[in-house]
Amino acid sequence: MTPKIGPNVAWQIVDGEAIIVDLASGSTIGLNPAGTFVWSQIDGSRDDDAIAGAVAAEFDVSPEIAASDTREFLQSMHARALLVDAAEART
Amino acid sequence: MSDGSYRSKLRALQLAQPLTVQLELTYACNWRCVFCYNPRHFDRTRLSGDEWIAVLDELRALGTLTVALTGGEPLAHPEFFRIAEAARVRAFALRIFTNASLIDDEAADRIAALPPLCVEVSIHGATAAVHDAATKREGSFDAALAGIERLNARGVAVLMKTPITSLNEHEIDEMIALAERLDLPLQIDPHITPRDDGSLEPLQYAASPAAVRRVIDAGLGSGSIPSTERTKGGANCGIGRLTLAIDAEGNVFPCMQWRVKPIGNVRDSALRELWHASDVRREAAEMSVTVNDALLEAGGAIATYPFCPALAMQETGDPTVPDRAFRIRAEIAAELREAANVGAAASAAQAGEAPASTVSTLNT
Repeated sequence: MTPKIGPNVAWQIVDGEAIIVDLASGSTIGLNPAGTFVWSQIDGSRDDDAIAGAVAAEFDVSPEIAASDTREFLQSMHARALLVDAAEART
Repeated sequence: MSDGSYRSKLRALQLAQPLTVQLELTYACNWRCVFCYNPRHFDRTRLSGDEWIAVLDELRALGTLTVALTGGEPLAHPEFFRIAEAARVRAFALRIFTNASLIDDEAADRIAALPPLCVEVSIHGATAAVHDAATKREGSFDAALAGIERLNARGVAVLMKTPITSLNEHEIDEMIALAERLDLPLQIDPHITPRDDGSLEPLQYAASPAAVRRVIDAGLGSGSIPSTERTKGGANCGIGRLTLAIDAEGNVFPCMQWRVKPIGNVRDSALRELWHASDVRREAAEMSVTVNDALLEAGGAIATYPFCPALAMQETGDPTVPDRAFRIRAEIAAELREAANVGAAASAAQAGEAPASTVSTLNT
């Protein structure tokens, strides 16, 4: 999957941590610095493998752990409709 | 992941990161509300779409999350949609303060496509007779309701906002029923503010204490009975730290209500430089602490009710000296809290439980 920030999302960074507003529900969530790093990698062109590679390099963890953690995070955000698949968004 | 909104807000307050911004796109308005704070309904002075979009770029870099487009009537700006769409492209949470009367089908489609966090619509009565008498525009009630219904049909989040006045206070029940019929949350604002030119004329339309009491008691304002907890050296509000406002001419203020002196003008200087270097902003932030400490020292009802130093400044000339309307609201809220505490203690005693503390009662 190539994640892209969803159309119903507003966000900003406060002191290195992302605050994300789901415009559909009005709810707000905060990301920790690791989640914020992943969020900052999402540009609609990098796929989950590329993002996991950046996570492995940034946090000095094994590629397997980075891939697992990154996918879990992306799936969670996708399930909340905070992320969409860039390929689907284009169609 | 967590609900980080409170922690983030606290951190932004410490960092002086203007999370919440109001942009007064135009002074122009198609209504003539008799109690309006804006004395420049006819004034077409305004920043262009390009200038507002440059401001949005700067706000993004400054760390703003929520942008409210207001006026006047913001949809009266000829480039309203270009500005609103640019705000969403930059991932701002967008609020639109409007009278909804200019929202036709095409406008409703474009608003739904943004989408905004909320469209906040001013309604001044439950009937055309009362509403149109307040706005001085025949047909304004029907036009506003038609706009709301178009937004409703497209699933846009709408908040019905009603300033309670001497003109509509007899229609509180009907306004509640209207909001229910339209399936909208209702926020009745007990504040009538002086005009931006300093005139106190709008205050003659202030609602009676009995109506204000009704609004506060029923939680029709900002929910449960408003209260605030103060600690010495804390900030009264986010002025100069969390909030920023820009008027239609590009003047930057630390808050929309605090127009004592602008921080500067976006046509003359970069917003980032104005925000970080301004003595006016710093002084406003320091004033917020002074006000907090003064109210804390005064104690009693006024120490426990949310206070706006800008409104006090307009009426009393001193931000630490509360205005009359604030004193009335604070006293009413204190009485209602006390009555609630007595009721809670009686219920607890009946149930054989320890009475809840004041703080926990207020927080629930």
